[in-house]
Order: sequence, then C-alpha cells, then structure tokens
Amino acid sequence: MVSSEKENGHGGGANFVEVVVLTTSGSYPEQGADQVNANQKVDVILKKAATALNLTDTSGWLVRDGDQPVNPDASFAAQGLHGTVELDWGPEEGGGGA
Amino acid sequence: MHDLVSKRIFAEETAGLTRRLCEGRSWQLFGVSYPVVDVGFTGAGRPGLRLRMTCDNYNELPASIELLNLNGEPISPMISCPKSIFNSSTHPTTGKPFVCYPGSRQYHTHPSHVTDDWSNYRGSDRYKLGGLIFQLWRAWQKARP
Repeated sequence: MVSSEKENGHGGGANFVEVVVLTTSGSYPEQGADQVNANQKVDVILKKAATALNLTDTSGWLVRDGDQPVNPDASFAAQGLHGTVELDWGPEEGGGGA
Repeated sequence: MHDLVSKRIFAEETAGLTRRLCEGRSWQLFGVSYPVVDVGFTGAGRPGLRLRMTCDNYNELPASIELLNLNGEPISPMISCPKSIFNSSTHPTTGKPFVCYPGSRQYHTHPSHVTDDWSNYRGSDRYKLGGLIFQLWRAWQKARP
C-alpha cells in the first residue's frame, strides 16, 4: 500500500516519486512505499523515517540509491531520482585502530 | 546482564535484518538466533566476507566477531583495508585477525584500546548490531579486492 501526499490533497499536479527508506533498524514505511513530491528535499523523508524507526542519532549517516550517493539537502528531482527509489541509509564507518 | 534482557536487546537490534534489506544490499543472512547473528557480504567484485557475531551477555559486552569466508572458514588472505578496521595481526586473546573497530569485543579488549570502553558506544544507533554490520559492510566495500 502506498501512502500518498497526493491522496491527502497536497499534490497540486506535481511529479511524485515512491520512496522506501531502508535501514538496519527497519524500513520506512514498513510496507509499500511513501509517495512524495519529487521537488521535496530527501531529508524530509529521512526525518520521518528516523522518527518512525526510533533512530535518535543519525549524524554522520549517508544515504545512497544503489551505488549512487544521495544528497539529503537536495530534492529527488534535482538528483534525477524518479519512479521508485530505495534509499539505503546508514552510518558511514570511521577509521579502525590497533 | 540477565539472559532474558540480553535476548530482548538482541532481538530488537536484529529485527531490521529483513529479507528485503539483505537482498537490496547483497547480504547473505546465514542465521539469526541468539546469541549469534551470521551475515555475509557478497558482490562488489571481491571475495565475500562473512561476520559471525556472538552476542552472549549483549549488550553488557559488545559482540565478539569472527572474520570468515562465505564457507564459514577463517578468511585468508586477510582483507586489505586502508583504515585498519580488518586487522591482520593476531589478537592477544583469540590469536586470530580481528575487527579493530568500536563495537567489536576484540577492539575493546585489545591492549591498544582498553581505555576506550564499550560504554562510550553502547546503545547508540551507530553501534547497535545493525549499525555495526552496516559500517563493516561499507568498510569491506572500500577495501582492495
């Protein structure tokens, strides 16, 4: 099932993308995909995902679509993300030690 | 820590390792049954890496991590990782190469890091089991094939 901004009356004829955020703490939404305005910043849905998945500290986390890095401060459209987008989100590793 | 509490934390922190997630990342989930989570990384044009993470008394203690090939044998040759996360020297306790990174029991018990206590990391999303697996996966992706 796709939850939709358009269904909620906020679409205004804009282009939409269907988005899933994948993390090792779970997926957002849990089932299906979230339909969002393609001109929306990626960060908006990441914040929704963090809240839904009880992620309290996502500083230093990186987001990718497949092998391609995604800029959370830019929109889906500006980064050529369209159709169904799976955002793979997680903490980037730092250096090791011994 | 009481075993029931440890099992609950383990279950919470491994619940996100779903088939959907693993397929999307080319992870092979060999098993998740307390106290062991056993996951392999494939693809990326390099030999696979399998992590067998034993989480007894978790999260009072961090996970003890074995580095294996996809057949479950000790990995050889060792992964060449510029950040030394996969350390080819022998750990003084296990006598094996080890994960030299916070969240690994071998890191926190290594003489070079005993002052960097696990309590500095325990419970943060980055160092929960899933977050740690993700970081080690990224390190493996960046290692020389």
